[in-house]
Amino acid sequence: MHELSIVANLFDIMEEQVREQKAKKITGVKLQVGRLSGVVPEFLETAFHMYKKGTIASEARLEIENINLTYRCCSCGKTMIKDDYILICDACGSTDLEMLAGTELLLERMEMEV
Amino acid sequence: MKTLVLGLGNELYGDDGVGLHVVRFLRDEINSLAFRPSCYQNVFFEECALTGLALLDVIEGYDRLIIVDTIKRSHPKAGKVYHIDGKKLRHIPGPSPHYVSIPQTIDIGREAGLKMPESVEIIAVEAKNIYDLGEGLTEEMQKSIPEIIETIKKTLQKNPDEKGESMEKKEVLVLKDLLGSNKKIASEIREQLQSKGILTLNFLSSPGTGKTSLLEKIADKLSSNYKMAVIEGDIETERDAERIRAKGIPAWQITTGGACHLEAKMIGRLFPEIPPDLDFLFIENIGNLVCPASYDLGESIRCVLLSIPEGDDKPKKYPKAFTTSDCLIITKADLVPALPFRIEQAKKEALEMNPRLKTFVTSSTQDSGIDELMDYFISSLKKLRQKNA
Ligand SMILES: Nc1nc2c(ncn2[C@@H]2O[C@H](COP(=O)(O)OP(=O)(O)OP(=O)(O)O)[C@@H](O)[C@H]2O)c(=O)[nH]1
Ligand SMILES: [Mg+2]
Ligand SMILES: [Zn+2]
Repeated sequence: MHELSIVANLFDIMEEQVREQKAKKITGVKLQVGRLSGVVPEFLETAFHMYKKGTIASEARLEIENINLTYRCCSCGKTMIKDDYILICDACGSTDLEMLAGTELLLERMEMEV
Repeated sequence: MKTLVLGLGNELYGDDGVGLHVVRFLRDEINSLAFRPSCYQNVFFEECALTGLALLDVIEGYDRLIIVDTIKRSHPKAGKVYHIDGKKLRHIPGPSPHYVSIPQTIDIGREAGLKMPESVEIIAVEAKNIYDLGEGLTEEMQKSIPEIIETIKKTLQKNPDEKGESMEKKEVLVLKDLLGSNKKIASEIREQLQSKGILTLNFLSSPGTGKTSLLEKIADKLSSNYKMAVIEGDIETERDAERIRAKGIPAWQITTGGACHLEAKMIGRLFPEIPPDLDFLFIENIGNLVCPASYDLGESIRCVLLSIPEGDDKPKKYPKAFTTSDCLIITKADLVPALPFRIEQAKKEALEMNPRLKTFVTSSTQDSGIDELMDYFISSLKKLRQKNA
C-alpha cells in the first residue's frame, strides 16, 4: 500500500506545473500505469481523491490509462503482449525478450485553468 | 451538470438531416479523444427524427439542452449558422415545426413532474432544401458543416450562465515519472557506492522469510575476510539491528513508523555514516513482497527471498519482486521434507519471468547453500572492483 506515497509524489509534480503555468486550478489529471508498475490503479484512484481535498485540484478528475506488458523478441523481432509474465517468444521460442512497455508510472498530462 | 446535444431532423429530406449528421460526427470525434477536456465531460449526443411531445423522453433528466436543427425562411441564406438562447425563443416566430414546440414541450414536461433542462440553446442552420425526398445535403450546407461544429464546440466550452469570457483551459503534456525523484536519488547512491568499490545488496521478502537469519549467517562467513555493514528496515523496533550488532557488525536501524517500504532518500540520510572502506553493504528491506519492489535504493544486486513455508506459487503472484531482482534465494530448505514445496517448480516459474535470475537454495539453521551464495557475492564484488580499476 504505497499508493498514498506515490500520490504525494504526484502532487509535488503537479504543484511544480501549476507554478510554471501560473494556473489557478487543476481540472484534470491523466496517468499512465503499467501492468508491472507495482501499483494498484484502484488504490491510486482512491488515494488521489482523498489527497486532493482542500487543494487546488479539489475538483480535478483522474483518468488512468493501463499499459500492457509489451516485449520485443531480440531473435525474430516480433512484438507481443505478455500479461502472463512468461518471457518466451510466441513465434520462435526465444527467451531473449526486450521490454518495451509495462512498467510506466507516469503523469502524462494535466488540464488547468489559467 | 448533464448536457444533451440533440440533433433534430430527417435524413430523408435533403438538408433537414444536417443536425443528425453533425451530432454523429462530433460524438465520434469526442469519443476518440485520448483525454476528454472537462467541457466535454458529462456531454451526451443524441440524434432524433421525432418532434413535439415525443421528445419528452429524450430530453428528460438533462440540465442543459443544445438543439441542432434547420430553419427555412422565405429568402434563405443557405448554410448560415445561428446560436439562439432558449430564453428568447418564445419571441421568435417559428419557421420550423421542430423547434417552435420546444418551449411548450418543456413546460408540459415540468407540469408532468419530469426533470426538464434549465437551459436551452438552439444552433440553427438555414436550409435551402428540406422538402425534397432523398436528395442528401446541398453543397451550401456541406460547406457550412465545419462552422456548425465549431459553433457547437464553442457553446459547450461556455457555461450557459456565464455572462463574460469563460476561464481559459490549458492542457499540458507533462510525462513525468511519479517515482522519478526516488530513481534519481537511487542512481546517485549507486554511483557513489560503486565508485568506492562497495557492493550494495537489497534483500526483499515477505515478513519472516529469514532475511535477518541469513544475514547473521553471512556475517559469520564473511566478516573474517571482508568488511561489511547492514542497514535494517523495519516498521518498528531496533530488534533486527541488535541481532546484527551482536555479531560485531555495524548496523543501522531505519524504522519507518508504518511505511511499507524503504526509499532511496532514507538510505541517503545515512550516507555520511557509511564507512568508505566497506566491501559489502546489505540492506534488509521491510518485510513485504509488494511495495519495496517499486523502490530502487541504489543497490547493485537485488535479492528476493522466498521461504519453503510460503509456497512455490509465489513468483507469479508477486511479479514485480521477481522480475526486478537479480538473485532468488529459496530459504528454509531444511523444511522441504515437512512441506509440499516444489523447489524446481518455483525456480522454473521465476526464471520464466526473469531469465537472468541467479537462483540459490539455502538453510540458515543447517548452514546449507550459503557458501555458494557467498561465492556469488564475492565474485560480484570482484567484478565491480575490476570495472572500477
Ligand atoms: N527452519 C528454519 N527456520 C528459519 C530459517 N531461517 C530463519 N528461520 C526462522 O524463521 C523466523 C523468521 O526469521 P527472521 O530471520 O527473523 O526473518 P526476517 O525475514 O528477517 O523477518 P522480518 O524482518 O520480520 O521480515 C525465525 O523464527 C527464524 O528462526 C531456516 O533456514 N530454517
Ligand atoms: Mg528481519
Ligand atoms: Zn522470437
